[in-house]
Amino acid sequence: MKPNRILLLAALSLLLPGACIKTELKNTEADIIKCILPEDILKSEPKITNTDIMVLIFPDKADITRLSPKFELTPGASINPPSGTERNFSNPQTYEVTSEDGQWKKVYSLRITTAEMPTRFDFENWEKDTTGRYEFPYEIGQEENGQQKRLDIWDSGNAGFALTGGGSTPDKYPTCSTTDAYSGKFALKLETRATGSFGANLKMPIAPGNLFIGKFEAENATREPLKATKFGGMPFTKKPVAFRGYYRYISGGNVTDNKGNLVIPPKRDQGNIYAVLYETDENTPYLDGTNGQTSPNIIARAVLDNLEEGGKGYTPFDIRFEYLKPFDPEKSKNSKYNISMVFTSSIRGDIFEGAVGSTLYVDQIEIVTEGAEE
Amino acid sequence: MNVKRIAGLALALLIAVAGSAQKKYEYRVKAGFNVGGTSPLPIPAEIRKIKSFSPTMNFSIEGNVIRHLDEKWGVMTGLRFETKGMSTHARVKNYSLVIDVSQGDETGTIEGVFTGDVKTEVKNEYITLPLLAARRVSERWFLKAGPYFSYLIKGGFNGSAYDGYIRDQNPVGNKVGVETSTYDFSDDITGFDWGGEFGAEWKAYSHLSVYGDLTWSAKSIFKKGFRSIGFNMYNIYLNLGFAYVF
Repeated sequence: MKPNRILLLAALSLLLPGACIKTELKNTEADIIKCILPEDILKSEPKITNTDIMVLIFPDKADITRLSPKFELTPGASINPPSGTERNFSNPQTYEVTSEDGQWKKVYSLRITTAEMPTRFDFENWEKDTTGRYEFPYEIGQEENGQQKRLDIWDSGNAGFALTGGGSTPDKYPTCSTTDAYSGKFALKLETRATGSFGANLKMPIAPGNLFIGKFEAENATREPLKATKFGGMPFTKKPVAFRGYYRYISGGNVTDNKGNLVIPPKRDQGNIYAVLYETDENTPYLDGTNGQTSPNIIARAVLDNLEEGGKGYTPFDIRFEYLKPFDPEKSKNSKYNISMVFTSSIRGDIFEGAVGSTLYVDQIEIVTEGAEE
Repeated sequence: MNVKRIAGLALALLIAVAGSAQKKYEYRVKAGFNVGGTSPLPIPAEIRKIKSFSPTMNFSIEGNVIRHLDEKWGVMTGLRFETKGMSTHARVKNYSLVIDVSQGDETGTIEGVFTGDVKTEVKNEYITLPLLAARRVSERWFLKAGPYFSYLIKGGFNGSAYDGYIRDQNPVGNKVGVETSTYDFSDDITGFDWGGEFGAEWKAYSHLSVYGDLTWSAKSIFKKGFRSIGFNMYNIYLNLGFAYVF
């Protein structure tokens, strides 16, 4: 063969290895997708986040010292201790999930508790997320034997904001703590923030500060943002009559839309605070951004959507729960009623309308229940 | 700098050609199009499926000169204006990405692992100088091989990532859905490209030839330090067309 032809053939043969798709790599993810316990002991469905699981159980239906949760994992992943192992959940237990390819490990903390939801929320307990970039508050509940248990009832959109590349420190996130408190050491601070070039690209130029009882499903955050905020999921076994607390609101001015343009006619940004009691059913374990105040499952609601603006100090609020349906004590006792509270610095922030800089401080929240009125 | 280098090489070659004793020059103009891809080599395992590929329309026009040294051998150089481009649609899994973003007055970084669909449009315009050894193998066949040097006139590399999710930071980080997000790395294309060119030409009529020249870049099309795409990508194009021989 002529040397030139050999050269040409050699060049062409180089094309072949590059053109082949390699065999599938093993999975690198290590998620607990489902946590399974007997249906009849659960007050609500287990709340699973990226590294934590919280399970609320009825005190009289299970022995918390002897529970054997089972898990559904990312395909190919393994868990230690294995799924179905009996453990004592008087204290939180950890599980280590290893990805199929063995390269990635994630430690989950599983908390199982019989504690009831508290009725007062002071935003005194804060913790950083596992990556240490932002913070979130948690509550302490009391079990019937007097033992105090941590309750991770709150969530926010911070996990979504984290991905936009913003927030070099926790206080630059939309949802954070502040020492500018009404009482105690800390209060909640929500601030509507710009999401930079990445957010603008996604038609999500702002991120409102928000905090709610429930969970933020970041997986839905860009596809169906209104459904990403799952409100509620916390059984409440008392009859709420009033919703009280202290706030300070500073509007960031006129709102911009999801393309970052000023809304015409100009509209001044407004914050929002509300609480609802709703009945859960098979299809409605949670409410979300589409029906948080309008779902037919709502039993009662208390809404504060006309916040007074003020530069310093805190303004009290005290709203009566408005009952849309009769309260059924039997359903309440069986944890059929869940409660949700939502705080946001931009009332229409869920559709990315708001004014950067709108800030809502919240402290000493209380749900006054029947018989506990002062 | 790169332009100077190319110009220098061209000059050296012309001097070499002009300095030799013989006088048998042959001139050509060529018109054709580039079919090929700007691709990682080999295709990394992160790319699970190429759902579609289009070579798009990429024209080239070239003027060149061959200095015949003897019956069989010659040297060839010239200048070629060309576009190298394509569009692809691929499904990726665990694709590492690092994107610098502006965040008000700060700059932030998005770091994560993306699983989903990626559409890519590449359209890079170059001015290219080939430096080839040419050999006549028969009355009608003519083969060429040697390096080429390209100077980027205009970079084009953009697309979108959609229908997937990012795991924040690493595969065990928070899972954040991505419905659709566009990207543009046109400014990250390196200004200078070089590689190997291997060509064959067939004389159809006394003045008209058809040709096919394969160009294969020796360096990644991205600037050094570019992190957003976790692998190098190379220009591999077949230039097909007609040549008019004067």
